[in-house]
Amino acid sequence: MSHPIPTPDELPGDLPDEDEPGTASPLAADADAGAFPAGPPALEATGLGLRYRGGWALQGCDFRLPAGRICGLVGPNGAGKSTLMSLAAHLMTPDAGAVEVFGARPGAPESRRRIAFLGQDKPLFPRLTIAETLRAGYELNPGWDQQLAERIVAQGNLSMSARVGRLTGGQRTRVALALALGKRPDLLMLDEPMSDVDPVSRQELTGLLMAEAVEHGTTVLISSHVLAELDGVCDYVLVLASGRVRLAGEVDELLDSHRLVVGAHEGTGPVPSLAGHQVVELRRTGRQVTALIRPEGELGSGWDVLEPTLEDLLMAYLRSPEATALLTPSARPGADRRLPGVSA
Amino acid sequence: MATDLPGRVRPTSPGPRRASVLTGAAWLSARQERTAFAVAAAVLVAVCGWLLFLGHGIDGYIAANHLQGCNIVYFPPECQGTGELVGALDMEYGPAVLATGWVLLALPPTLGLFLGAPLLAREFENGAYRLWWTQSVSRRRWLAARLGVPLAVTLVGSTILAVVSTWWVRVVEGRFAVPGYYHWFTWLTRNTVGPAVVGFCLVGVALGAAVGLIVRRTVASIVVTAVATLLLRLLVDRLRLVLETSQQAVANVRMAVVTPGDRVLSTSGHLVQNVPHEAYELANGFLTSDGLRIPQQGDWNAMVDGRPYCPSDSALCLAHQHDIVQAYVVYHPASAEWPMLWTETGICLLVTVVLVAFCFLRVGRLR
Repeated sequence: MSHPIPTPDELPGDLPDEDEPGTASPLAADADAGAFPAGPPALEATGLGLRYRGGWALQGCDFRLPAGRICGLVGPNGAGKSTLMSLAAHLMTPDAGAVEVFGARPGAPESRRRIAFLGQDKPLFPRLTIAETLRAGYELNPGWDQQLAERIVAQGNLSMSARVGRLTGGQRTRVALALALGKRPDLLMLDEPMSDVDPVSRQELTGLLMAEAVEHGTTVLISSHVLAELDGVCDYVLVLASGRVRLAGEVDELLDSHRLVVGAHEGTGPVPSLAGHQVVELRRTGRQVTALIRPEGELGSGWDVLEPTLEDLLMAYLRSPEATALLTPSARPGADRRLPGVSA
Repeated sequence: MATDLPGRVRPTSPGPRRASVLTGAAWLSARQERTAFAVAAAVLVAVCGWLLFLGHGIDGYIAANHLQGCNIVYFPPECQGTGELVGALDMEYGPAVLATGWVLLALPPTLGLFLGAPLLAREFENGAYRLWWTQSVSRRRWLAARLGVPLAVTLVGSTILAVVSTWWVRVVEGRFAVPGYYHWFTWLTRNTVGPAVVGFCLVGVALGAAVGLIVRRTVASIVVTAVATLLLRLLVDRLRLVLETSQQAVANVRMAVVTPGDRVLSTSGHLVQNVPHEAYELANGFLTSDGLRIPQQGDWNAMVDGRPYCPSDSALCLAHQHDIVQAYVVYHPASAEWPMLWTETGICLLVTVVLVAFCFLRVGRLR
């Protein structure tokens, strides 16, 4: 390995650091292997596949989530988001390929301690009180942080003696989140965590989650249907569709490498002035053409060029399953094992 | 168990730590089953209390009326003249004894159905297993806690039940016109006495848990467990004397046609006298002078006075009536009771171990 000395930015997530999520590596990261964290990535999938009732819930999935990132996991229903998280949490075992958590298999004792997974249905023991639920967290996790868990519960004005089965959906989410964060994981996976939380609590819980993640350098993988919810929260993104990776990498880098262009064109054929650029999605409204492209060189005149929002980018990829999948260098499996400058 | 790792944050007040025997996964497992354990403990106290009360009442009646030696199966000579007292005892306590016997018989399977069958099935049904598995414990620790705690509680509870139940059965056995409690080998006795009670309870819980791990649905698990328990109990019943060698008693007989009735009846030889009291008969029949065995259907093919006879439907017996020299009975003596009970227990424990091992193998392969 010929990495330079890692900056705090690159340290694995279990060390507290001054990491600023949102500082993405430069676009030319291809040649800059030093931008990759020195430790093993939080998640690395190689050829990962899971068969499900004849079909593949996840197939040929290759990607890498460097430690310390807040990663949005996006995809339509049935894209394999929950499957991916379940595989990483060792709730399922893959039919093909492998997934590693900080360089270890998900079932390893070390991995179990380092991962917290909050499933979509947020399983809790309905007959336990909140206090007992937190005690369960204490009893089952060597790194348990009771103060943190109690603080999260207290912020929701919940009584510790309340029974979990009597809580509303949003309150349950808060308790489940307290349990997940109290574990002090290095990788926190949240599957649609805010789906049944009211907008005010949603904002508060998201803020709390991000503050904790930043404070402890926790890597977060969070799936959501609400794309706007991820904007400004995530510095990394992973898009799945039909069980395959469509897009993965640093948000800034991805936004930098795409442009939203608006221009005029007659007819329904290809647009000549966009030839030579990779067109992810092209939509026509009368004579007006709106396209999300990966520019490869200068664009001709007659185009209004905008930097896309994260939502524009994600929507374009979700609507265009035929577009070429794009992974930034840090999101490619095995990237940190390659010599600098030779990553594909 | 709760060794603090470096950097572990000690809970502040009001922390989760309370004085508790159990820690770690065992604590959570016990907490999950708290209601079930409370119900089971209440049932145990109620049943044991009832057994003591009923047994004490019967014992008192027997002592007051000097019926200690009076067994309604054998009705020995010292019982002569006590018929009314014995009848009154049966009238007063018979229905209660019968009902209690059924309850005792039903307790181990019930435990299997309502503690064992939902144990793992409900975890899968409501997703609680995912909560467990995403904590810092392995699937095997989860299983060890989920099985270990209920099995330990079952062991303790069923041992208490077994002690009280055994005492009670000894009080009522052979004193009531309740067929299951005539002898040591009759079906109520052999299922409600001694270590067998513990064995049946443990295997019931283990069987329910194993079924739940396969079926993963609570109601389905209960139904399948019910069927599996029945089959297992029939199997145990079949094998309960497998380690015992049966014994044979013979009596010299000489058969002759006796009128009226033209029955082929032995004119001498009282087989009953050669078979000990409380023997469990397996087979009986006749032996001819050239060694031919003529097995007979049914129990004692003997007159009230003990003389064996050829039933009119036994062609072989009638054909060889002049060659018959001996009558035989193959039986287990009363001394076979405790070996039988231990055999039952041993089979149950063996099956329990196999089921638990199966669960551990399977949980690692669940996907």
